[in-house]
Amino acid sequence: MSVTITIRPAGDGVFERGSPVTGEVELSCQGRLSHSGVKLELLWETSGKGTRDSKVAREIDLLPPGELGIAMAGPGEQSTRVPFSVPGVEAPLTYHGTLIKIEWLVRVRVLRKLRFDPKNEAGVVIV
Amino acid sequence: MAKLQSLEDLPVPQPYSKPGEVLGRQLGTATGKTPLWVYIIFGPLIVLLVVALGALLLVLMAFMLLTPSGRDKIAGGWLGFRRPIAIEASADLVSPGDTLEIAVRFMRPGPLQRVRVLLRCTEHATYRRGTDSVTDTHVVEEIEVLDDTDPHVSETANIIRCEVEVPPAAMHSFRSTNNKIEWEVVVERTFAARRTDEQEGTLVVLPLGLRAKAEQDRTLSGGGM
Repeated sequence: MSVTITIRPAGDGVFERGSPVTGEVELSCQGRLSHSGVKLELLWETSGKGTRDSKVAREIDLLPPGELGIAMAGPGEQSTRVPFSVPGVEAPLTYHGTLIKIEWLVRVRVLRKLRFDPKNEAGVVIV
Repeated sequence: MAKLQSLEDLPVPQPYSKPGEVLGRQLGTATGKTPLWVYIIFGPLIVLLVVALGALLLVLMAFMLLTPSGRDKIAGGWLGFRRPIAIEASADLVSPGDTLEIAVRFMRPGPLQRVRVLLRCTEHATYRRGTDSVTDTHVVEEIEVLDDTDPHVSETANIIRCEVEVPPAAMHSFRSTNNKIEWEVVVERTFAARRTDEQEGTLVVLPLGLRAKAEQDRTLSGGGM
């Protein structure tokens, strides 16, 4: 199972504050895979010298609970593409300081009962 | 669809005073009644703690008195305490690019050699080192707003006014559990014999979009925060 996040239309993932963060998620799996939903989070995270802080600013349900690969059941890898648009955020803005860095991330998690959730992250820049 | 972002949900510091008010935090006071046993148990402990802290402070001051710069610092601090000032600002909510008027009110005027007013942005990063919690600071930006080497402060003229533009590309204020970006108005006074004292007032710099929201919230809540 793999999760690929592509930020669109901005190739470098730069978004004006307040404008929606958009892109596409590609979920690939071998055969069928049941899940309890696919969640997308837009969150900020600090890094640098201080202890890491983070907060989820936006959370949307990308897919309801169901099965992946159902449309193209059969041998080989199946993939599902889901476009997304997350309402924009005003603060904090992306910041690269000496002691503190503030980064924004888009995180996608495929929720699976009693198993590890396959997930992936992609960085975005809020200016 | 996610709910609209509220100012309280964001990691930016919340405004706490009215425009023109003296910059400073208002401490909240507890309202509930405290049972007697709390005073019996914690009262003597608090007294002991205060005595221990006082003794520690005295030892620290004794060490500082050994060096000329330490002596100047202690003397400056004492003179600053005896002659308090109030730092006032035209707005407590500012955005990058805004012009801010600053007034320094001298409560007990007296001779001064120099007065400097600075607008300073500092990063504060807190981390664990062993069992200790350590905070490192780094000054990101320091703008000299005023440098008066011959200030005349008297009973009738006890206010110094100046204004500064918050840099348009400046980072806004930020506060999370372990990391903080803070903007301050700093007033540095030099008394006789190079004895200096520094006092700060915290300023909240909000991104442009949030400032409008904060002002709207303030109007809805009846003017004060």
